[in-house]
Amino acid sequence: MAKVFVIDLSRCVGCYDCQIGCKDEHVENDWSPYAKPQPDTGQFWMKIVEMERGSRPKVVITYIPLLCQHCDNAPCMLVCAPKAIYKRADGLVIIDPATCNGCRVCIDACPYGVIYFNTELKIAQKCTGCAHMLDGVSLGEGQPKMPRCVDNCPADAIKFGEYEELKDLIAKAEILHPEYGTKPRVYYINLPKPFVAGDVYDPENDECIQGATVNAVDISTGIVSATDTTDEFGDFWLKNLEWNKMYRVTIEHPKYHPKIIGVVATNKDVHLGSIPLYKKP
Amino acid sequence: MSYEMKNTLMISRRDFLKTSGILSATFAASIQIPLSESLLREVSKEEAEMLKAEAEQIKTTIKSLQLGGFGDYDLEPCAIDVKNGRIIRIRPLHWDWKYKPEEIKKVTLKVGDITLTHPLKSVPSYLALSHKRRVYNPNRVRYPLKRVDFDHRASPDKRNTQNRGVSGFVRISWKEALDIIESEIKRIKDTYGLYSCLVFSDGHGQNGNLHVIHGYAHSLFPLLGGCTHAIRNPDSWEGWYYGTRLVWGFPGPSGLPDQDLVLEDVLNNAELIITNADTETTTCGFQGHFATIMMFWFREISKRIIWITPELNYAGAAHYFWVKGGKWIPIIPNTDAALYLAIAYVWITEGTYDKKFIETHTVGFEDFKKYVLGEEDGVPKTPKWAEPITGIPSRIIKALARLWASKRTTYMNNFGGPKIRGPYASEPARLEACLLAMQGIGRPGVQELNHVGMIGWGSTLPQLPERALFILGHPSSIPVGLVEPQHVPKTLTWAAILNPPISWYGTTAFGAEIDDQAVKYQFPMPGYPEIHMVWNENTCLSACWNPGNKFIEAWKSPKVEFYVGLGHVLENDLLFCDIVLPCVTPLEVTDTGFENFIVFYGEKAIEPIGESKSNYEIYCMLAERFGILDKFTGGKTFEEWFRSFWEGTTLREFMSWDEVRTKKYFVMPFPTPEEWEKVKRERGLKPFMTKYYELPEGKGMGGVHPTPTGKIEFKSVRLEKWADLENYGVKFKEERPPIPHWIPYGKAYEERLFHPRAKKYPLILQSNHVRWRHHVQCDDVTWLREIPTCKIRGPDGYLYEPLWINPIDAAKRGIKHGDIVRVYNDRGAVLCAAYVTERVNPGHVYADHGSRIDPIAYDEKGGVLLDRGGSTNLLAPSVPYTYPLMCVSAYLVEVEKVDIFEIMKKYPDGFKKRLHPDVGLCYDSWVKG
Repeated sequence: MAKVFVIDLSRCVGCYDCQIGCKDEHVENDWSPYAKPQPDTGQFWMKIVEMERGSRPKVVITYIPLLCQHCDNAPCMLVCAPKAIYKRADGLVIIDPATCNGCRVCIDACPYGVIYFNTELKIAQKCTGCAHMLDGVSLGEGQPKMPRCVDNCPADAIKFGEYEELKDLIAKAEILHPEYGTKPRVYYINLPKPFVAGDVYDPENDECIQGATVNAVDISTGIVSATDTTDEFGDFWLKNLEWNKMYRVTIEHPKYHPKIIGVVATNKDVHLGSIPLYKKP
Repeated sequence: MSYEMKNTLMISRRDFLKTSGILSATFAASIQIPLSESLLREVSKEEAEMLKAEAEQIKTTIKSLQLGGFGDYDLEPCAIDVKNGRIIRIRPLHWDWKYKPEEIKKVTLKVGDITLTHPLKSVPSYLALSHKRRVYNPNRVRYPLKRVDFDHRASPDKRNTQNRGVSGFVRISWKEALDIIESEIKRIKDTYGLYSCLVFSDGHGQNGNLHVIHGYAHSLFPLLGGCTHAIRNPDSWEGWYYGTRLVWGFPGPSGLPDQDLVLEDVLNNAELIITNADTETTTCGFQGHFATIMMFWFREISKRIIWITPELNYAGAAHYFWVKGGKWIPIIPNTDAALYLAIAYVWITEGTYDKKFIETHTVGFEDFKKYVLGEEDGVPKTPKWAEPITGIPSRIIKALARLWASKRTTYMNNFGGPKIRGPYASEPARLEACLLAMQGIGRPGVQELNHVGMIGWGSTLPQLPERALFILGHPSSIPVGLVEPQHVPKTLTWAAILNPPISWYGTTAFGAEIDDQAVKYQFPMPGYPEIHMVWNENTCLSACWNPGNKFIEAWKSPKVEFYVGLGHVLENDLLFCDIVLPCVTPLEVTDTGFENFIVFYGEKAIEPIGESKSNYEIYCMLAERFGILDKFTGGKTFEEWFRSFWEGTTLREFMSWDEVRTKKYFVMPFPTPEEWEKVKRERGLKPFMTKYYELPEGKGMGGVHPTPTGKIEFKSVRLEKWADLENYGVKFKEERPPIPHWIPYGKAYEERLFHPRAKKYPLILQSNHVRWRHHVQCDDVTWLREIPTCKIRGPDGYLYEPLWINPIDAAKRGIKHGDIVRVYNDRGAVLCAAYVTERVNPGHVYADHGSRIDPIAYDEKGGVLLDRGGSTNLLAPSVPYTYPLMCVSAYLVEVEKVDIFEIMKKYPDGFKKRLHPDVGLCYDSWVKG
């Protein structure tokens, strides 16, 4: 009995159905003792975080469904004086609305920013993993036992289940901010990694250059971290680099003079734009 | 917006670091929290039992909450959980609720070894899944309403029509409402004849087969003595209706090739898909996320997809990064015709087109070639020529042309967007068909795939034709043809009211034959009256149809002596009515749903809100007033109608209607891939264009209504014949020449960045089929209004419609993300909030149409001077002279930063309306007492 969420960002189409499903389940519905009602607006126990990356036309939109990480090492539990926050045997972390005294310490303690304060009820609130439904409580006819965000997802981007069942996916997954050390039970596949993109062209002949080899070389190690061959449009995408590193980008094509871009810093995604190459004599 | 700003994950980390040192030390050390007993708490057994007992009170019903409003056209119904007369939740319907998974034969396609299928549940969209907020909305029309200063006993010139949209409403009883309507209909009939009543009753609305659909007015009014029929134009695919139909002669409403088996061919044979479709938006209003499922089918078999769109649309944003070779090519809105001509130029000069097909299957190519090469007008349509027009570098155009020609390429279309709903949209549509012909359309993998058409109008999915449903529920829900002798295209109804007489070509009816486009009509017809009354069941013309602001003028005109509107939310045209009748949502009535995956009998979930009634019930009440109830209903009860819908299909062979009612739903059986292969073999099934491609002599285009030559026409024989027909001094050949042209601008449209008008209005505004609404529907849903691309809260607390603007254009105007901006041209002005983004080009701004109109001030003619709702449609231009095209995207505007508090001081009255903090405009904003 150890539940986990596994979220594949490559399958998230940004439809917000998960965020809406969470509201549909919890707004105006009192699921005590699991949770009191969520306010109509302003709280996002499941929240889509949108990132706009790169620049035109190499713009990438990344959607990250962000919810309580149901940490095994949950700082919110540790700081809760009235001990209102507890962990179920299935791993879900719950704020007991009857015990919460509204001191808000958990909200500050959560490094993921997923606990909200209900100013009307004067309690802290967050994702319950729809534990009431997992326990078979208040299910509709023919409704499966799963969190609403999972059920609402049209693209199977959010999976929920036993750790053992999802082990193969988890092997490919990461957690958000492992450096926090909170042992989340929410795993992400395809978390954003910086890219360096651009296109190469021949200005003398007004043509895109296909077949150029483009490498991102880690300046500190000299190792090629990513490589791509330009396509019909001269496009290259050096994906899955590391954040906050320095790379050297090299562009080579048998018919053209090579080009080296000395330093590219991945403190953000980088669109190098259109890069001219000149024919060898 | 910068990457940092949006990366709230990063922000939360910074916030975290700001928290106490002790906490950070705790995490850094990664101390294990002991899972002691005191920290573990489960719900007790007793509590759980109690809660489970409560759950037994939950009853579940099924409803389709998509918003297409045409019976089987809408997909992916929801399960509705109800307790104590209140909706608990709205969720996807799991198909295995009443059936074992092995009993369900869901749609399955096989591509090589890969099986593609639909999940074992419905995939409704956010619009359906957020419907609890639509049903229980402060904007619901709860009671019949009368405009405060409207008195039907007053003479027509003393009815304060100038106060429509200003003075607000009071609640009245159903009896009073019906009394007024009855006496006014009689008065109008006696004074002018009932043909002076303009009736809008069709189109999108809510979904059902009997109760909430639009259309009954076209059954009722003929029984009462007639009406002027506002004809619904092909409003989402105008360019194909007026363009491609002339290239290949398809009679069908969309003007695109029949979609049977096309998807399968594309999945199996296409190597490249080029698209401008927004599959994550356009179809969400009626087909839920079925298009999303299809996009994942493409991804599962590694199909390469290239988007050519002005903005990085939601489908491009969701998919292109994850597709090998996926790409977004930004194009200046409504310049697709120039791009297509440049592609044709590359193919012609490099010889990379299907010369044999051109020779056997097409006519007029030589003349087309001359135009492309510049022999007609001295301007070769080279990629260099197209570069400044389209904003696409010529080398990219060349690369695209070569890639397109070297691969088996399908063009995937969808409704909407500036290409098909912009100025002179017939031309890019025709040129697209010409390009497909140049690559031998019908060759395996070379098709035109239409996302929308495949479900509603035919069956691209492997489904036995005799099993395919063509049930649109009550016959009145199909008012696409002519029902009255006097009629006006919707796009010209404002002119029929304000400036009669008017003339135009073509009825614009979906079902009209192509030759109807050369038939001249006039309003009023000889011996028929002008408009003196309006009956409106589609109260969104000002927010969706062009020219939006002219509709407002018309609604406020004293010529309209009486104006009745029907609706379930108080918005847009309804604000200008004299009498408003409250309608229910599908959740408040028992109705059926017939669609391609699920047929259901959905009992009502809750009682009607306030005194609202279903559209059908309202028309029944009216029919009763005039003593024609039996004639109107055909003597059928609701239940008899439901049974007749089922028994009118071949599905009755599978199950009796009584069994469907008991089981609540029926899952349509699809053949297995093996069964399907057998059927295809035995019946010789192929996509229509493939059959055409295989005809050695290439004749037989267009089935029963072919082109005059029976072939694909690069030079339209019809348009050649019609070339000198004229309207208001403009000839057909100026707006649709026999050979499709790039038309930069003309008498009707000057909406180009290189037209002198752009000096004053230097940005081109794009509007699409709406992401977070279905046109106007659902603009008041609080859960959607929290989404950053849906609304942006201004400094005054109001939720403004976002206007996407490039950082370069924003910087030029001193605009920052979230600033309130005035978007304007000579047709009006609206307020939006700036959404600064790289998803649009410099020179190009984007805002979806359909945001609710919130008029702050009116001009002397009655149009909206300033709209706070951000209803950009008010800025849309009119129609061309020789075809009444709907043109609601790609027109010129300017944008300036404003101080909202200064505007409040300038127009204090406009800001006095009561607003809901999250819904904005609502029932209480307009209804007194």
